[in-house]
Amino acid sequence: MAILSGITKGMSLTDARALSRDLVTEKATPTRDNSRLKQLALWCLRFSPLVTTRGPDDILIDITGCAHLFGGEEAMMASIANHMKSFTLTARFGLADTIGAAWAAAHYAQSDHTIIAEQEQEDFLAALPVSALRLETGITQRLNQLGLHQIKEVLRIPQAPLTARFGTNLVTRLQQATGKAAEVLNPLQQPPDYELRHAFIEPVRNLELISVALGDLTQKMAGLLTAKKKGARRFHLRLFRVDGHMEQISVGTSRICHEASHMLLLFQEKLSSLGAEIDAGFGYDLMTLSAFEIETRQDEQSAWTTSTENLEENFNKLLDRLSNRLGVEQINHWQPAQSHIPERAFKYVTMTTPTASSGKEASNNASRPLLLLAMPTPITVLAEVPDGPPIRFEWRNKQHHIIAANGPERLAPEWWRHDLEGSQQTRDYYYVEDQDGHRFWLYRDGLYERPKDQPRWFIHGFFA
Amino acid sequence: MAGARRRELKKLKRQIYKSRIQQMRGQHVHTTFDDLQKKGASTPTGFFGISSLDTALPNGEITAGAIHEFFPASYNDFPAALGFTLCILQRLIQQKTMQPPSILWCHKLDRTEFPTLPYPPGLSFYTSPTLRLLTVGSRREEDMLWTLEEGLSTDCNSLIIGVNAGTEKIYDFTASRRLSLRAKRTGNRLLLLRPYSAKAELGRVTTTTAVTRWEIASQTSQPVKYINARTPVPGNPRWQVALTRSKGGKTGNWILEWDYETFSFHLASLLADRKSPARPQPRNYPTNTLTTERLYRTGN
Repeated sequence: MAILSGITKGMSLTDARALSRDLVTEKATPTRDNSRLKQLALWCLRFSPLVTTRGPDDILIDITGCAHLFGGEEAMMASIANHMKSFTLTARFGLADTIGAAWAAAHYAQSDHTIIAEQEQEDFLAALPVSALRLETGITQRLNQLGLHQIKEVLRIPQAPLTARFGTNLVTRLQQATGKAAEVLNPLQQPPDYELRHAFIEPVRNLELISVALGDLTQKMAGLLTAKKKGARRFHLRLFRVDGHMEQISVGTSRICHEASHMLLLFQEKLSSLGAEIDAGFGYDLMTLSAFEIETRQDEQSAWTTSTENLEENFNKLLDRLSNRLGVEQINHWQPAQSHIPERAFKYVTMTTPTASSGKEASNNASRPLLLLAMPTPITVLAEVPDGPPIRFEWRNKQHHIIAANGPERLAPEWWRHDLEGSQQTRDYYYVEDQDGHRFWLYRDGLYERPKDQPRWFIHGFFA
Repeated sequence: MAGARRRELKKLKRQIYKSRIQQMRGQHVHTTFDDLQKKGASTPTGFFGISSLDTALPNGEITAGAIHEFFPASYNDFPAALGFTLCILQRLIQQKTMQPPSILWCHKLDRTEFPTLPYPPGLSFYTSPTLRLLTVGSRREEDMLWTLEEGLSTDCNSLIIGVNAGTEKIYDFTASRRLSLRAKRTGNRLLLLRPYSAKAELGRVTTTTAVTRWEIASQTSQPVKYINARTPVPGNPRWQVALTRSKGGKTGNWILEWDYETFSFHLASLLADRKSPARPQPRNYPTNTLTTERLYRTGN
């Protein structure tokens, strides 16, 4: 309509309004457009595992080996086009052996649906303008100034002078489009090692029905993995909505997994915890289950007794469930570290970190508190100068009178480490008890007898 | 031929030897048992090693397959409550009522003054330093309760410690019942440290299915004085421990001292020199009237 009334790209809004009175305008929202495009691209994962977005409005799908699943290339393109039409999107399609040729077909071909037969991309490209080569506008303009309007004219020129005049980009693009040089499609999502799909006859909104179908899929996946003696560490469940949205739920396991029941349990927990957060929209019409990080499984002897191995397995299953619900980073155990500075003497690490066999055992040291503040809190302290124990201190607006104190325990900074932030002064630690029987661990950062130091007091921990 | 005979002989000898050993063993056990009976053998030391406290516990033990709740008496008593919980853990390990433990430490990530994870080097004061903890943090209370439930229902954890220092909103009778049923099935214990704000006095209904409920307050320790020191040194930690619920046992109130060298509890004993001022003496320093062997009993 707009084009009919003579409005073109790059026209100012006032001019356009003058040409067409009932012009509908929308603000440009590039970031939103981009994220929507990405969503749509993810939804296209139902056609092929290798999908990516390019530029502001392109989706690239590598359908190598996929077309026959949809009844051939033409049928597949028709199917995608149908979906796009149902989302009220106007889209142009191009299919070719190379990314460059497919792009040119989608952007410059006469028809909306163009399929270029095998090895014919050069003939197809020949008739197109040079801008179909995905070049910067500067290069296109200069080519045009030199009278090179069509690709066939450029193809005739030897490559060396072209490179000398226009840089490597032009030649690379030319070779990529004709298939003489490789071009890498960087997929949005890593392609899975195994994928199983389940299409619903009618769109499904009910999570229970999805669970049932999921049970089916996990069984099949388990069968597949068992037959190949493999196991996977990561599984993705993808739910494709009819309106072009894709929901992805992923679970990970600490050991390689090939059991249907375990997979199902992990997914069901995820699903139930997501519950209301999942927006089913108009329903899902397809779900896929994919397995990642495949490893070959060692044969395991089934245990005769309910021995420790069984416990170990149960323990690993518990770990999987906890980490899938709460996040791997929340499940920790601690390791001693090579440092005498209290806050660096140990660290909590995730379960996946291998146990460092540093010979240093936790020392049997009764002078360390039960709880340690992650960040020492500054406090005001009344104490004898230079190195008397504290007499009174104020913390959280409360005065604590100290009736017993043990210290100082002097800890020198780690001068051999330069990568540390914060104060690098010597600390004097005191174990003190106040009038109510609360026991604290205080320290003075810096010594009074050192002219350069600026002593300050901190509270660092609590004893029971 | 000779070889076979020799083998036969060897076999016989071994049999005789075995039977003798068995005999000896049997006799040995028999006599010692008799001896014990004659002497009126002292009952094996109780859980706390303090008779008044042990008799107050249900069946004289920290029951397996049940929930045990711990409250700090005030906001600042959180470390004390946690310390006492760890002492209970150590006693459990010592009594061999538990296998070398794998301990699940579930804590709620809250913005509180006190950290909810222990400082590992400081653990040696309460329990063996080789203790392995698996810590699980959860942001929401629902998640924490779920973790506790999962932990209780697998047979690979012998002990679950739950620490919530922030706020408690959904833990109630129903939730605790659910947890106890799980615990009963597997025989795991749950030591649950609840926030002080959930105490009964603060207007919340706190009926839960816990078998024991404890309330812990810090007490001034008996300071150790050294001749040249200006200030006395804090002694062993002391807590006022109130058993406010004990299913099938008795409630009571004790002042306990933890000896980290022997990993045992003592009743805090009377200070002989009451008037000895600890330097510096604060103005409102309460005279230590509670340091006594007398028991403060409440309830039945």
